[in-house]
Amino acid sequence: MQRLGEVVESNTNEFVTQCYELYDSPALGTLVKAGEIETVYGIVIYSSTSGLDPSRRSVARGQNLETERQVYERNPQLSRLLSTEFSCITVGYEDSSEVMTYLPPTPPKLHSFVNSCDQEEVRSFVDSMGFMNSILRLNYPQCDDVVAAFVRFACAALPDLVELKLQAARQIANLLGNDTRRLEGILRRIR
Amino acid sequence: MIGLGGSGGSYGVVVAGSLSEGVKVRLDPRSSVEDVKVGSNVVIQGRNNRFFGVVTDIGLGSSDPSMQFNLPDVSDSFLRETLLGTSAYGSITVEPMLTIGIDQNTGKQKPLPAKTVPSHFSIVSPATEDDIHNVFGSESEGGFWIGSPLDMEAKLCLNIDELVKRSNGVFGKSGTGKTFLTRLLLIGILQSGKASNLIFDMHNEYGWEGTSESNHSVKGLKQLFGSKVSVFSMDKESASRRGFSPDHVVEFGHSDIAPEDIQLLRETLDMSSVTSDIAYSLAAQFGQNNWFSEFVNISADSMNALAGTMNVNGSALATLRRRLDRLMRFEFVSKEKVEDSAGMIIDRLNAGQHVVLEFGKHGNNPTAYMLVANILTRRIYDEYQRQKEASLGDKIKEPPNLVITIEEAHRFLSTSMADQTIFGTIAREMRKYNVTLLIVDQRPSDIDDEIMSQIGTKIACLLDSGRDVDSVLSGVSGSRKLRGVLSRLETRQQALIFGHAIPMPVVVRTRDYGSSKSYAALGNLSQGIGDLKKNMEDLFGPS
Repeated sequence: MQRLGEVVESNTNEFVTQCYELYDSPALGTLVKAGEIETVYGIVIYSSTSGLDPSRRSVARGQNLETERQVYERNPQLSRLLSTEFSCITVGYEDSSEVMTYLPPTPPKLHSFVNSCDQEEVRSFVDSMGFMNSILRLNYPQCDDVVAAFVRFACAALPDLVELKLQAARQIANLLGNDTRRLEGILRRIR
Repeated sequence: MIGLGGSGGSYGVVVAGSLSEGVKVRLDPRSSVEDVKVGSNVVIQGRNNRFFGVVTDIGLGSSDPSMQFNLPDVSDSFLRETLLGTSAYGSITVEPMLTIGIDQNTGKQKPLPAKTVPSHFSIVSPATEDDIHNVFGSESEGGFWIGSPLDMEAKLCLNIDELVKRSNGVFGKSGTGKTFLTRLLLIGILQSGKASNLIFDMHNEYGWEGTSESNHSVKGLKQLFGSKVSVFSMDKESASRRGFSPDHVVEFGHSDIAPEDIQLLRETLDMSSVTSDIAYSLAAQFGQNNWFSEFVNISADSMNALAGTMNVNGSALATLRRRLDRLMRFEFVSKEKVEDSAGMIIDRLNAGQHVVLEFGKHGNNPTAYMLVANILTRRIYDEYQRQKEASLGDKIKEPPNLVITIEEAHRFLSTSMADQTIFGTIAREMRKYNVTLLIVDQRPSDIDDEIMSQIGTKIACLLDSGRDVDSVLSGVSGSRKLRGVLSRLETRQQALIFGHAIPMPVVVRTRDYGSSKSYAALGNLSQGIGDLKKNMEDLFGPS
C-alpha cells in the first residue's frame, strides 16, 4: 500500500486528491481508496497539474536550456508552486470489512489519505463490474479510456486470472450491446 | 419414476416466445449454433415443470441492428471472441412438446402434452439418453426400438400397442427408405405378437430377400422368423428364380371376382363409371358368384340381347367385356374351381401367423395388384366382421389384431376411390373389427383427406413436393414448424415420426438393418435355424 496524497475536494460522485509529489498521480483507471476508517474506493478518471494559485499562470522558462530536466533544476521553486491532482469516480466503499461495489452513503472526508489498493481489493471489484456501467454513462470524453485502462490495470494486478481480460471484455460488450462502434474502440484499447 | 435428469452443458436460456410460436432461446457464449441441429431434442427446466421440446428453428441475432452494416474488425481474434455470444449471438426456437406431469387416470408421472411454456430464463439443455427413455419408453417396457434421435445413440422406441390400434402410414419419396422402415415396423409388430401382418408385397421385398439402396441383399421376414411367416406367391417362377419356394401359390376363380373389384379397377382399366356400374347389374342378373364366368363366356350375338334384357347401353356392355378380357389373361385367374387362397390366408392369420403375399412379375401391373389386394381384403373384411360380431357373444372368438400393409396406397385410397374400395372402409372404421392398415406411399397428397386424417401414426421420410408435405402434416399441431424439419431430412435413414405411437413428433435415424448384428437383434435367429432343421427332417428324415 502506497500513500498517494490527500482528498482536497469531495462529493457523492467524485473526489479530488492532491498528490504529495509533483507528477506522482497514479495511472488512469487505477483503483485507489480514501479514508482510514470509512474507506471509499474510486477509479482515477482524470489527472491534472497546474499552479497552486489559479490567478498565476505558468510561464515558459526553458528557452536557453538544453533539457527539460534543467528547467526544474534551475527553478527549484516550481515543485512548490505547482501541484498535481487527480480525480476519482467513486465506485464503492468498505462496510464492516466487506467491500460494496456501489456508492457510499457519504463521500470521503477532506484530507483523507488516499492510498493504492492491494490485490484482494482489486479482486472484489473485478468480481462484480457493475460500476463499469456508471463510468460508461459519464459525460466525459475519456470515459471509454478509463474503462479500458481499468481492465488493463486489473489484469496487471491479478495475473492469476487468465480469463479476466475476456470476461471483462464480454461484460463491456453486454453493456454496450447496441453500440458496436464504441465497443470496438474500447476493445482495441484493452487488447 | 419419470423425471428428466438433465446433465451436461446447457445450450442457453429462454428469453422470449409463446405457445403458438415456440420459445426463443439465447445461446450461451460457449454454445455454437453449429452444434445445434434442427429437429434435435432438448429439455427445459422451468420453474415448476420440466419441458421436453424440439428445436424447430436456428437463427443468428445481434443486439446492435447496425452491426450487419458497420461490420467490426472480425479479423481480430480477441474482438471476435468477445463479440460472439454477447453482441452477436445464436438463438434457437424450441417447440415445447411435453411436460412431465401426473396422469389423472393412473396417478403416475408421465409425459403430457405441453399446455404452457417455460418461464423466462429457464435453462435449456440437450436431451440425454435418460430423457429419451423417460419420454419414449424403452425396450424393457415393451417399446420397439425404431432408431435413434439425431446426434444421439439413445434407443427411441415406438409403442407397438398404440401402433396396431389404428391405421398407420409410411410416406416418403422414392429411395428414402420407406421399405426399410416398413420392414422394421413389421418386425416390431411381429416381435411383439400384438397383431398379425398381411403384407401385399408388390415388389417382393418383405418375404424373402430384398435389396438395399447400395444393392446389398437384405433378409426378408421369412428368413428372420421362419415358420411364423408364410410367404404366398402370385408368381411361382419368380420365387424359384430367387431361390425359395413359397408356402402357397395363390390363384383365384371367376367366382372370387365381385363387382366392387371392377369398380376399383375403373381407372386402371380405363372405364367410365357407367361401364363399371354394369358389373352390378350383371351380378344381379347372373348371381354374385357366377356373373363373371357367365359374362366372359357369353357370345357376341347374345351380347345385344343381354343389353336389352338388362336395359343397359350395348356399347358400354361390350367395352366392359373387352376390359374384363384383360383380367382373364392373368395366369392367377382360373376358370376352374381353385383352392380358396383367401380362406387359407385367413386361417393362417387367425393362427397368429404372418402372411406375405408376393406379386412376382405382377407387381409391375397395377391392375393385378389392385385386383388381388381387393379380393383378399374384401374376404378378410367379411370374415373379421363375422368373427368380431361372434366375439360379442363369446370373447374367446375375438379375432387377433390384423395389420394389412399396402404399397402404392394412393391407388386404393384416392379421393375418387376411397369411398368405394374396401381399403377406404378399413381405414375409416375397421379399427372396430381389429383390422388396421399400414399404408406405404410416395404420393400422400393423392390419398383422400378423410383417410389421411384417420391415420394414427405417420412416419414421413423426405418429401419434396409441397402438396405431399401439406397432406402428411395436415391436422398436426405445429405443422408449420414441422414442415421445416421434414423438408430438411436427409435422403436416407431419417424420418419424422408423429402420431399415437409416440408422445411427440420426433426425427429418428432409423436403426441399422442388413448387418448380421442387426439380424440377431431383430429376428429370432435361433428359432429360424431350428425351423430349418425341422424342415430338413421333414424332407429327408431324421439325421
